[in-house]
Amino acid sequence: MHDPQAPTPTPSATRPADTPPPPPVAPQAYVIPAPSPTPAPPVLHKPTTAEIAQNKADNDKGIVHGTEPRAPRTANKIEDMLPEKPVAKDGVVELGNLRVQADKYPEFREALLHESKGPHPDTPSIVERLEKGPNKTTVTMNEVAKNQMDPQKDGSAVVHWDPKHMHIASNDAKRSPATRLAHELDHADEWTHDPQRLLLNANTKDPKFGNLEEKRVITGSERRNVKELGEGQREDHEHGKGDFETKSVTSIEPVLHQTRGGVTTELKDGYSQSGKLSMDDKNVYQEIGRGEKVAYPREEFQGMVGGKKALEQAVASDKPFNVQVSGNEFKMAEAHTQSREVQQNVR
Amino acid sequence: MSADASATLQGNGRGTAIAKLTVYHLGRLILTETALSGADLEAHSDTEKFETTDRALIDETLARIEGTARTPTDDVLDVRWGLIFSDADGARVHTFYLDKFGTTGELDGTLFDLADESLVDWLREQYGPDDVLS
Repeated sequence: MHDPQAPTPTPSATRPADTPPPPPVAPQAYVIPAPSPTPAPPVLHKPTTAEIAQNKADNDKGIVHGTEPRAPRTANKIEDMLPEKPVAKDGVVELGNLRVQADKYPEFREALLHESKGPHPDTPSIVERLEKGPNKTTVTMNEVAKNQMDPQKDGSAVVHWDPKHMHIASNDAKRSPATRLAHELDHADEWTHDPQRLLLNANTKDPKFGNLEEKRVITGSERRNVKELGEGQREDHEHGKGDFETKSVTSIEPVLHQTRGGVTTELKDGYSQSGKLSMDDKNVYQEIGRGEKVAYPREEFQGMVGGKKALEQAVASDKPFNVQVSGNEFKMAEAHTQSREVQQNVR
Repeated sequence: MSADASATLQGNGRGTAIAKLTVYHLGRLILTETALSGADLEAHSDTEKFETTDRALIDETLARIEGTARTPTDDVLDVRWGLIFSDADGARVHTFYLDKFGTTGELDGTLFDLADESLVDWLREQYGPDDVLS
C-alpha cells in the first residue's frame, strides 16, 4: 500500500523490487584531508551525580559504554592514511587533523601498521577518524615511558608516546610500544568524537581499572588488538611489573641492560619471566611467546646453586622456567615450583 | 582532630618536627596508560608542585587527613595528589598520596579508602587546578 507520507524516491534510487542490489562500491582512493583552520570546542557539561551513579550501576552489571568499535568501520587502507614519506613542516607531519612529531614518524607509522593486522582491526578506523575529526590530535614522543592522553579545553588532544618501552602487567601480560600507542589513540578518538562520554567514564571510578575510560579502552580495542597480535592481556590498570626497554616498537621482548662479562643486561628489580630455556655458548634464551626470546648472559647462571648441572637440566627440560629478579638476587626456578629454586647474587 | 588520629600522624613529636609541606598534583583528566604511583607522580614532567612552610596550613592539612575516616583497601591507586610532610632537614616525616576521586589513598605506605571526597575538594580549593570540567 502506498504511504502518502513516505518520501518520493529519486529516479536514481528507484529500481524494480526483483533486481538484485548493486555490488558494494569499491572505496575511492583515500585523500588525506586538509587540517581544520580553527578548533571546534565541544559543548560539554560536568557529569551529574545521577549520571555517574547510573554509569557505575551499568558497570556493576558488566556494561561499559563504548567498548565496541565505533561504527562505521573504514574500508580504507592504513597505508593510504599514513604515507611512507609525508611532507614535514616545522618538525610536524600533518595528516589532516592528526599531527605527528616528524623525526619519530617512521616509528609511529610502523606501530600503527602493526596494529592494523587482522581481519577487523580497530586502528585504521581510529586513524581515519582522527585525520578527519573536527579537532587536532598531536602525537609527541619521549623515551621515559610517558604514555598518556591529555584532553585540551579547545577540543584538541595531546598524545604522549614512548616508542622504546614495552610493558609487563601484574599478570605478566606483555604489550608492545605499538599497542600502548593504539591505547592512547583510542582515548584521543573518544575525546574527539564523544567527549561527553569520555568525561562521564573518566569520572566514574572502578576498583581494578581506576576509572571506566581506562576500562573501556583496556577491555575494548586493546583486548582485541593483543588477541590479534599475540600479546598479553592485562586484567587491571596497575603499573604492574613495569616498563622495559625493547628492541622495536612492535616487540614484546624486554631488553635488559647491564654490562657484565662483555654482555649487556640489566636485571631490573621486580623483573619476572616464565618460559622454556635454551642456550648457546654466550647466552641462555627464554621463550616469551610469539616466537620472541629474552637473552641472559650464560655466566649469570653458571654460578648458581646447582651450577652448570642445574642449568643444563633446565635447558633439557620441556617445562617452562621462571627467571626473576628480587632485590639483589637473581633467581631461576621451574615455573610454579619453589623447591628447585636456585639463586645467586648479581649486584 | 581526634586524640587517636593525633597519635597516628603527629605523635612522638612528629607534628612539631614537620617544617614544610610539598603538594604535588597532576591534572584530573590526564589519562595515563598505567596507574601512577606516588613516586611516578613526583617524577612526572607534567606534575604541578607547591611548597609551603605556613604552620597553620600544615596543621590544617594534617587535621583534615586525620579527620577523614580510612579503611584498608586493595583497590588500584592511580595517584593524582601527593602531600609530602618533611622536617627542617628535608627528611620525610609523612607521605600521603590520593587518587583524583579523593576516595583511595596511601598514607606512609598503607593503602586505604577514604569515607568521602571532602579532602580532595579542599585540596582543589587550596591549590586550584584548572581541570577540564571535573
